[in-house]
Amino acid sequence: MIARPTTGHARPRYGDAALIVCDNLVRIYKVADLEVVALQGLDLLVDPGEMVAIVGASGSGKSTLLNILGGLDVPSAGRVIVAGHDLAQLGRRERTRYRRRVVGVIGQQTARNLLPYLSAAENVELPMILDGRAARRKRTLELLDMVGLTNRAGHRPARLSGGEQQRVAIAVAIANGPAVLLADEPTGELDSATSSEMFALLRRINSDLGTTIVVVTHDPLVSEQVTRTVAIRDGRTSSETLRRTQLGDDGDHQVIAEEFAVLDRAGRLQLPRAHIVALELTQRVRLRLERDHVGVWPDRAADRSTDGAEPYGPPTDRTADRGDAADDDEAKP
Amino acid sequence: MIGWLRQALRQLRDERVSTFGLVGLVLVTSFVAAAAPRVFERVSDDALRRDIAAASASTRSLQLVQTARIDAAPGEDPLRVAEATGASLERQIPPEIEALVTGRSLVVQTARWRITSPTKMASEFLLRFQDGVQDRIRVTAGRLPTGHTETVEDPSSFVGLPGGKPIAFEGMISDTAAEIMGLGVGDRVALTLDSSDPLAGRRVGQAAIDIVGTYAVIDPTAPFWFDDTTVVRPRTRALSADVEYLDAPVFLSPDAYRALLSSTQFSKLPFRYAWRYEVDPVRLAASRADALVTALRRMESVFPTVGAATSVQHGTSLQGGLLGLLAAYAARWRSALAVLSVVAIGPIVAAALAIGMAAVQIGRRRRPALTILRRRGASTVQLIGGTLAQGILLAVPAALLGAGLAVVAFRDGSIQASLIAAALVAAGTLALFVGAIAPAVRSPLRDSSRDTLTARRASPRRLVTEGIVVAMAVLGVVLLRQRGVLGGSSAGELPSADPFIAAVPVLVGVAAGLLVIRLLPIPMVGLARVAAWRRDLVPVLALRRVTRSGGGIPILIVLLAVASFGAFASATIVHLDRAAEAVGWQEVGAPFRVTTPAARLPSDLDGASLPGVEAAAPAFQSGITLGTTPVQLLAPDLAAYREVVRDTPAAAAVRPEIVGPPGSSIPAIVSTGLVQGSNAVTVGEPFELVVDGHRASYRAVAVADVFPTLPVGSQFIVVDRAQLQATRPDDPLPTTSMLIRAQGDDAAALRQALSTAAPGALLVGRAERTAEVRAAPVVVAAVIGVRVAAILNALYATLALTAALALTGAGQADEVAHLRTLGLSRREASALMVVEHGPVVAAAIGTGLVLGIGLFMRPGLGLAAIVGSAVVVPLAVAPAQLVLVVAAIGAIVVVGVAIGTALQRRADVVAAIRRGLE
Repeated sequence: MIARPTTGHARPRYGDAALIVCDNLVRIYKVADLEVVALQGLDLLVDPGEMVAIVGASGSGKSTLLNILGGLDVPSAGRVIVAGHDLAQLGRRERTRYRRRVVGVIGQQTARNLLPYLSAAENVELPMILDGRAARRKRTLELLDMVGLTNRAGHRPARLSGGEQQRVAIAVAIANGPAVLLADEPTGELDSATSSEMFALLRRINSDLGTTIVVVTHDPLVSEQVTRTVAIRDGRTSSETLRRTQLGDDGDHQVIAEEFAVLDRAGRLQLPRAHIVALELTQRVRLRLERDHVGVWPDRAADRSTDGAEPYGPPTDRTADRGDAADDDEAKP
Repeated sequence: MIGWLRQALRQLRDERVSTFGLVGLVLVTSFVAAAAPRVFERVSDDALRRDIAAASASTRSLQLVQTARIDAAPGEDPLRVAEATGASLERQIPPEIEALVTGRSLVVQTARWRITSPTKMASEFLLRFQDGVQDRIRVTAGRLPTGHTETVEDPSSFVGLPGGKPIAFEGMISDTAAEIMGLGVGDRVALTLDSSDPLAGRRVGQAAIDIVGTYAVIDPTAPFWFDDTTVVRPRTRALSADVEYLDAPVFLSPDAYRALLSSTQFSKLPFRYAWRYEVDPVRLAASRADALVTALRRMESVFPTVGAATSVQHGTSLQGGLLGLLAAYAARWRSALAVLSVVAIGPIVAAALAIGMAAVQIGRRRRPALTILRRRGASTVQLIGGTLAQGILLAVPAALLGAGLAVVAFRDGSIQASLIAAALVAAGTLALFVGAIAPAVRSPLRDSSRDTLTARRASPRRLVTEGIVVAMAVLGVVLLRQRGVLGGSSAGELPSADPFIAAVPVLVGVAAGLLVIRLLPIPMVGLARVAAWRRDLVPVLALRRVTRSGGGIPILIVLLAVASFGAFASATIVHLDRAAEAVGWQEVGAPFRVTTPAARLPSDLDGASLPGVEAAAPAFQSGITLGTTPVQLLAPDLAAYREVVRDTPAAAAVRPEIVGPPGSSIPAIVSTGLVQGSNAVTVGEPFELVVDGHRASYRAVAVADVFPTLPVGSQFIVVDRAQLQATRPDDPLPTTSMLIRAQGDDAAALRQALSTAAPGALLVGRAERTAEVRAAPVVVAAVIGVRVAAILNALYATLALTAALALTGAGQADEVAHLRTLGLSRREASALMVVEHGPVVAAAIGTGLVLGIGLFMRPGLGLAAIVGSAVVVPLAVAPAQLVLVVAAIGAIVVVGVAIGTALQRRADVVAAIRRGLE
């Protein structure tokens, strides 16, 4: 746990109210004589009770982030706080306790979630045994009931379907009542119908138990089921998509999704690749501060002024542009 | 805790095959380990008992000897007083020795009495009282003597000596003595005390014996007689070349003892009292040999030790060779121990490898489950604790059962030793079992595939550790050369093998393995580059896998161990066999050798005329001194000896330099010790010797370490008999031994012929002696021990290698499955395994053979001492046996590769693709 400042006038730290705080997170792997930077200063905040999806291309750093949040890996630099635990400072025993009590992890492959020689109930009971909890049997049945597998309690994983195995894996992950549930492609090996059932269960856990859930996924259907999707690119958060439901004019509920580029604490943001390609943005871009926005233009050599005017600005005449700025803004993508 | 343990045990239920396999291994290993000390104890007991039983009764038993006159008060039986004296002496015998004694007897004997009555040959009697004689003889004529005495009224047959009328005692002699001496029942024999006998001490005396009976000994070899052959046949005592006496005992009745005391009262003639204690070899135990040696040395400090022929003048002395026998046994047995301790290492290492491979197999299969548990928050203590509980459940009952079976199968022996051995097996298994999962428990939980190249490279710490192991091995070899395999011993204890020094071969083996592991990639990289020029896939892929993946190490270690042990075992067995041959030739010196306890053979004995004899060479031997150095002078008829040993290993001993016509000095072969030291003989320079009263000039023309028939390590001079005879033309050289070449190796016919031509002569055959050495319990134990260890080693190595290849094959199953999707055929997949492991197998076998032979050659192993002789036997490695060793290893490899290939083929291609290469 982090010691919070005791003075009443201390400046709030970044992410003080959040359950998960990743502040300029860096993770570097050494491979032979090479260094691979998997995370390059990633910032992420997740509030308590949120359900967040993390998406990104292969090699973007999603699994590395999940391993760090799960206490399976240690960051090379930066700050990562989960439920008040500074993961970069934990000792081995504390890290073991963290994995038992604070996070639950669900992997994509069922073989990595369940012990094949234990029954479903025994697998669910396992985390409680590791933590030395009492009244395990009662809770085991409650959890199996929650995931709808009470009648399969005595079955081994080999006798369960893929969806049933994942449901048992969910029960195992929440057995010790963790604050955070991390799921790495939980529906990767499931068909769409089963995936939907799986996600409904996760939503129920999120809503009924208040467990904060972070799901790493490639599946666009999954990302549509959460209110917030964070995209990671090149080891940093690049954009976030927020979804809200609103009542349309026809009385139907509409899901409105807005994509935002993420601005980190250093003021950096990643432009969507489509924008970069469309405007042929390279190396340098021109910025212009407007009243309520910042404009971004490609840097073309022919457009540079030689008369000592402001270094930033669109390639057109500046005086004429100021008056039409509002119209121009509407026209720009 | 209970819940956690219950879940841990569920895992065992799921891994039945591996579990049963490991339990089986532990059971078998525990049985072997628990049986080994019991078998060893039984073999060592048997060896000790047979060694002691093979010795003569007088050598292995004890005698307390006193020169005195033990009398008694009137009315008391003086012999009973003598027996009581013996009982009080016996109380001073340490209890460890007394526990071995099964028979006690008292022999009272006088000095020699010369027979002045007419006999066929000059003869002397020794008057003897011995309890229990009447039960061990058969009266052939007359009766047993009584205590009746008679004063000889007519002493005309006596030499005129003052002292009154002598007393005649009733006595009994052997029928052989009666025949040789020309005496019979009813004869009265006049006796005069032989003042030249030290026991008589220049006293004078007269007596007479009335021969009332003759007897035949029922069993002359019975321990009761203490190897005294004179009770059967008189001994010939040669005073000079012309003067010989026959000495024979005459038994008197114990009732005559007091009368004899009275009749010698005037001269105070002492008697020789010998309290005899027969040692029963069956009561000996090798485990108590140390204590026996200490007790015997303690006895020696109380009773001074004298030789059997020494006349005791003062106090009580101890006679007997038990200490020497025990020391000789200990010397041979500790050499056998040294060999067996090295031999035991082979199966131990192989068993550890086999169990280790099984544990690694189980650990590998458990890696995914361990990862899940760690991700769920299992601590290291919980994981290791659970694994330990599983290991205890597997190993402890199996070890106890193995130990129990060994105790039942081999009833003799210490149960404690067996339990300790089984406990060590269980503990070792637990350590390997827990150690096999330790890497999975400590490895990073994140995906480590990016780090695989880094992880596979040896860390500096590991390289330093390996360097330390190699340095310790080199240091161990240096220590071994200096100290040998045996450590020092404190006084009174038998030296035993130093465990650190005995472990040096293991260290050397490990060091050799590490060096091969580190150096093997060098030629492999070259081979891989050469293979890359070719167009076929298999060599390229296989050799690249060897050089880049570092695989094959367990296989290399297993093969290294089995090859080195196989070479060592082969060389040891061949060497022991040849050493037995060498001992036979060294000790006998010819196909047959005739000696005599009478110090010389009949002068008219013509060995060449005996039936079946092809050549015979008479020899003269005498003990002389050169300065202050005792030397054996041996003078065989070299021309005849050459013919006797033609085409045999002994032929090399006959140097042409000493054969030829006589010169101014006799050419001689001298021992190496005589050309060193203060009395050194200079080669080529003459020196003088006095032999049998004859002085002559000799010249050393050759130096040798050994010569046939002479004890190894003794100083000797060998000359041609003809040349020695030439220096004393009027005094024929006696023949002390004869070396014979005869048809076949059967000595029975020769013995039969010799018993007539030279009664009392002893014949020993070279083949008999060699067979005797080979059949010696210590040699048999060493050979059998080596063979059993070799078989166990091979069996365990097969298991370990199969497991290692199966591990490798299963681990590469997915990779091969992927290659098969690219078009690799099944045949090529098998060839991949062969080419990948081929260089490793070849390197391991080659290094192992060199290592095994090197271990065999290491000093301090003491193989020569096992055969009970310091004879030097050149290193002998039988190529045929080595080929057999290589073939056996090849068979093991073929079995392992076949199983590994079969496991590879079982891999499901589709499942492998879905899983991806990890």
